[in-house]
Amino acid sequence: MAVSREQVVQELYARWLGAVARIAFAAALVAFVLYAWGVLPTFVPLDALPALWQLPVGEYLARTGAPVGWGWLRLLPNADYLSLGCVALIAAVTLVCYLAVLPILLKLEERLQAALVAAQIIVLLVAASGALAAGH
Amino acid sequence: MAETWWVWLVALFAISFVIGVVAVVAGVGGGVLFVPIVGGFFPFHLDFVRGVGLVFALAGTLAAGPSLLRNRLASLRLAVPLALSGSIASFAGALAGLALPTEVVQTALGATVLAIAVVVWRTGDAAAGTGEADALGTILRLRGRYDDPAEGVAVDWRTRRTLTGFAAFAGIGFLGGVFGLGAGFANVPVLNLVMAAPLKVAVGTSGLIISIVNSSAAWVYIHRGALLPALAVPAILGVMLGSRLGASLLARTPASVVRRVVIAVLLLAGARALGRGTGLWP
Repeated sequence: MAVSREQVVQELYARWLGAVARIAFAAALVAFVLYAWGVLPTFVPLDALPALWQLPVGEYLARTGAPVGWGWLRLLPNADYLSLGCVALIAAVTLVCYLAVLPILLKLEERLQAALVAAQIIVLLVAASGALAAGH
Repeated sequence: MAETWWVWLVALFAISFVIGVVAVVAGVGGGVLFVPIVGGFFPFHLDFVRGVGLVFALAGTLAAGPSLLRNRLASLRLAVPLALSGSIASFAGALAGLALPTEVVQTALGATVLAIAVVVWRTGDAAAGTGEADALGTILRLRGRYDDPAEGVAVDWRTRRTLTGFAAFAGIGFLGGVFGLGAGFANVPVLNLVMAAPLKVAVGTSGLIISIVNSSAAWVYIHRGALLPALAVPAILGVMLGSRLGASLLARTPASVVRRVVIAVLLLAGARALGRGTGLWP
C-alpha cells in the first residue's frame, strides 16, 4: 500500500530529523557558551567584531585573514570556528536524513522517489563540497 | 565600541525570539522578517545578515519538522521533488547574491519585501483543493491523507498543476538564496492555491521544504566566510524559543491582528532596505 509505505519513510525521516537536529543544536549551544565565556582561544576575538561585522565579507576576510572553503576546519581548536563547525552540523542535518531514508526507499522499490532523493543528496554534497562557491 | 558586542548579540537574540513568535502565529517564514529587520536596523553588513537569515529559517523549520511529519501535516513525498527544484535554484541564488554589489541586493531586497507585503495582504485563507490530480502528480504519487482534529474528519488530498509548482519553487528558491529568506510566504500560496494542497498540509510541507532548500544555500555562505557564528547562534536560539511560544499562542491570538502587524513590519523593513540601497535613507 502506497500510503503505508509513505508513512514508513516519513516516520523514519522524522526520527532521524528529531535526533540529528537535537544533537546539532545542543553542540551549537555548548560551542557558543565556550566562545562567549572565553574558555577557548579565538581566531577573531569577540570584542573585535563590532569593527568587523559592518564590513562586506570580502573586506572582513582581507582584514582578519579568515579562510574560505574548507579552510575553517584547521581552525576548529578556536572557539569561533568550533562554533561555526556546529552551525555547519545544522546545515548537514538534512543530508543525514536523506542518506537515512534512501536505503529504505530502494528496499520498498520506490524507485522514482529514491532517484529524486539521490539527486537531492548530490545537490547537497556539491553545495557542501564548496566546489562551486564563487566569490565576489 | 569594543564592549558593545554583547549588547548587539543580546538584541539579536531578543529580536529573533520576537520574530520566532510572530512568524509562527502569522504563518510566514521567519527569514522574511529577519533579513530586512536585522539588515535595516542592526550594524551588521547585509552579507552576514543573509547568511544568518538562512540558518535562522533553517533552524526554525528543522525544530518543527518531526512533529509536522508525524502528524502528517507535512508530506515528505510532496516536499522531495519541490525541494530538489528549489534547492538547485537556491544554491544558484546564493552564489548570485554574494557576487552582486551590496546596493543592488539591498535595493532588490527592499522591492521584494514590499512586494511580499502586498502578497501577504492580498492572500486570503484558501479552501483546501481536492480536485483531480494531473499526470505528473499522479506519476509522482503526490497525494496523502491527514486527520484534522478541528473538523473531526480525515482529509484526502492530491496535487494538480505540478509542473507549474516546480517552476514556482525554482523561482522562490532563487530569491530565497539571493536574499537569505525562508520564503514560506511564497511556498504556502503555491502549494495551496496553485497545487491545491490543503492549507494545513501546505503550511507544514512549506516548513519541510525550507529546511531542505536552505541547507544547500547555507553551505555557500559557510564556504565564503559569510556566516559569523557569533551572530548565527543567538539568532538560532532566539527563533527556537520564540517558535515554541508562538506555537502555544497560535490558538489564542486573532490571526487578523498578527497579519496586520506582519504587513506593517514588512512595509517598514522593505522601505528601509530600499532606502539604504538607493541612498535615500542611509
